Amino acid sequence: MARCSMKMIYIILILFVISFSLVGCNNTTRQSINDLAYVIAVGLDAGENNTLKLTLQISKTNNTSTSTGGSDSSQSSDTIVHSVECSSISSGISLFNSYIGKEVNLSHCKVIVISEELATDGISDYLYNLVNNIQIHAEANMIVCKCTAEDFLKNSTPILETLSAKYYEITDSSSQYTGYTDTVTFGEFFSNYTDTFQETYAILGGINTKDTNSNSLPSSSSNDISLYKDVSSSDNIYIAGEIPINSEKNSIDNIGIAVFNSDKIVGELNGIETICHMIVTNKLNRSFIRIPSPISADEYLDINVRIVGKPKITVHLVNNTPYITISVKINARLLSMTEDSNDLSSTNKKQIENYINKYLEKNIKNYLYKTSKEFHSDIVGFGKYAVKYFKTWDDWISYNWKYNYRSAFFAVDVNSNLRSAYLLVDS
Amino acid sequence: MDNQKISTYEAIALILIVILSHLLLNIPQTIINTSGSSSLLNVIYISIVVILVTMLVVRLMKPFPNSDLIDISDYLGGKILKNIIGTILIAYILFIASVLLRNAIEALKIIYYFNFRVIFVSIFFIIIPLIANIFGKRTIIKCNLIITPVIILVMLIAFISVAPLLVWQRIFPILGNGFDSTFGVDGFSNIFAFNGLLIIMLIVPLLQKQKEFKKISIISIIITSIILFLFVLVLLLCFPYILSVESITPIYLIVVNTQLGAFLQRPEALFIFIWIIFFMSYLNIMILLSLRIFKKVTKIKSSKTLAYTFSTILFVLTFIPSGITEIRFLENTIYKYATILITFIIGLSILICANIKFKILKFIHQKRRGVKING
Repeated sequence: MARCSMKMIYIILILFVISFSLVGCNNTTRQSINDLAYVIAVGLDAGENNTLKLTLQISKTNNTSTSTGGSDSSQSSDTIVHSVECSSISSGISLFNSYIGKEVNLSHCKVIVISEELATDGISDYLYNLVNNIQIHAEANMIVCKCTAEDFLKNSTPILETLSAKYYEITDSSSQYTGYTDTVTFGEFFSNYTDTFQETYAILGGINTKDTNSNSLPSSSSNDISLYKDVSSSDNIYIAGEIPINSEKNSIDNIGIAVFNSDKIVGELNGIETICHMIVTNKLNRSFIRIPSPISADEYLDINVRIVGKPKITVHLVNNTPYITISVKINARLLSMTEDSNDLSSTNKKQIENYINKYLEKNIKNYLYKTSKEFHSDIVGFGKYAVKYFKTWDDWISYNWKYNYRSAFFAVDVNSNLRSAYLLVDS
Repeated sequence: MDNQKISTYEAIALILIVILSHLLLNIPQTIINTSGSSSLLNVIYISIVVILVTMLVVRLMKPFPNSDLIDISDYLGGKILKNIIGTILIAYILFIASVLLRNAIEALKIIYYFNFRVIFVSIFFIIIPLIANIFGKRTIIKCNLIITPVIILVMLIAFISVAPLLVWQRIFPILGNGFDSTFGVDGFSNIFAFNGLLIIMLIVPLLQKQKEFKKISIISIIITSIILFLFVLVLLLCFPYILSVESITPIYLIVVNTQLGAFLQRPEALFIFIWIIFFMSYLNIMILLSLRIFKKVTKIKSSKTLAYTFSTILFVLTFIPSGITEIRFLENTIYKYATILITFIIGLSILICANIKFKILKFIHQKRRGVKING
């Protein structure tokens, strides 16, 4: 028996040694870290002289200093950004390999940036190429930028972070407390793209320049500003690249969503529309909205909203046309307070709740009809609530949900509960 | 107590390793390709069928205590049938092991060893069963008892960590690619996922407690059914592109999408390491089984030195497929139908015929005894 145990130990040792040997044989570990160029962001633009312009933001692995030494370079000190005109992603990477003298490695890529121009032409081929690449991780964020991807990466200077990779990791987390954009990973983007239930979407990015800083009005043509009464309540109708932040240098921001139909971008959602999207898809952690006060004219109320439970969504097919009903429960807290506030009295509370309900119902409906009638793109994934009416896959495919979504009509019911203010109840 | 006999847990681990190694590579994808969104219904259906078949196998093997399929073939058709069945089983075991080995090497080559030649990686895999089989059966089975629960645990962690991606509505349309692909002939052919039933037919003489045979068989099949169900569930409900895109190895697709918090962002390397160990243990078992069958057929005293021969045959067979397309054809077509033919048709037919022979002989024997008593 003891002999057998010894043999077992030998076998396990051999298994471990050989397994470690196999793991150690892999190409990446065979090379030193200095032989590899670790890419933290990939940018894709339409090429001028070739099909594609590939931009890579590469981490300087052997650089211990994070200071630029007084350089006014627009890129962060720990990375370099270079572009190459090429016919495909793979050939672009090969050109990079010969140029930088190191092997480009994409296994630490945190962001994939695609320019709006390229996304308009269709990105299917690039998507499949990236999925087929073993180094690209599903957790990389997917951004569509309103400028060129090259400019976007060159302007992505971390303000409060020393490492660009860390900056990319945490920058999308703002969606958790603003609701102004959704965190869309590459895996999620590709999954939605191939799904028969829904269309795909990406984070919308842009660059804030001095021109955008001086322009305090959002320029989005599709936004119905009259809905928000006047400019003082329009803080959440900005889209990427339009936030009037005064900064010495150009900076990037991610606000809004880029909506796709198949592999082509068809439109953009602004801040409030993205909040509505987050509410319907049950992704909203918390956000803030500014509504005209139903109690005093010319006053506005800042409300912090959270959704309670999962929105109830039903889809019925009425004469083959989707009829979609959405019921959402909201918990609200009052942020604004004035000298003579009495907003939480039972009468006022009810009035505010009703107004929040109407405000959100109207915005959610506008957002839904925009995706349906204007974009013809079901980015919520209502198709998954309709698929149960079909027995076989062929029936479902021949119904063509994605096409029929354009004729959908919606009923939205918001039920808000104004719980309290924060530290002050009345003044 | 015989030291060469195996315990209940060791027997379950032995059956599971054979089934799980195939599950980890391509079986769930084949099931999804056949049935589409109704794959889960199909898995439930074939699991119920296989559990019933397993109970039937246990019942059919009851009149032959301490005998496996080879012994029962000997009883049914004498040496000729025994040699035929023995040869078929050895060929089948070496074939499935070689196809799986090549498939695993190709997957590993794509994931990690892209510049290495297949022959180099396969040498690493062949050395282990060679050495292990010289050490002996007991050692292999004890090692396997440690490795199998680890891989099951790893699989469960991987399944749980991708749970946030589950969209349960992807079980619709309920009949997927149609009634036939769910419950008809096409759907029924997915029964090949339970190739471990053949091992059940071979392990009886190895068991320490013969009475536990039924328990071992049923538990193994139930565990397999649960893992297969979870595997198909995760693939189908988390990754819609699995219906249109064929992944090189579905478990890798699951593992690269797992994120165990910010601390362990890329767990796939750890998984690959465990998978390599698991796969080596599988090869140990497959060589052990083929050596055992060969020993039974030829009645040689010791089969230890034959480990070199069988490992070399396995090594050579690994290089027969020229590329991934041929491997996929061998796996999806040849392996699928060979498993159905050998395990479910030949294996069951032998057991049924042997039982008929047993009952006829028993009846004749009783009749003769009755005549003698009356006379």
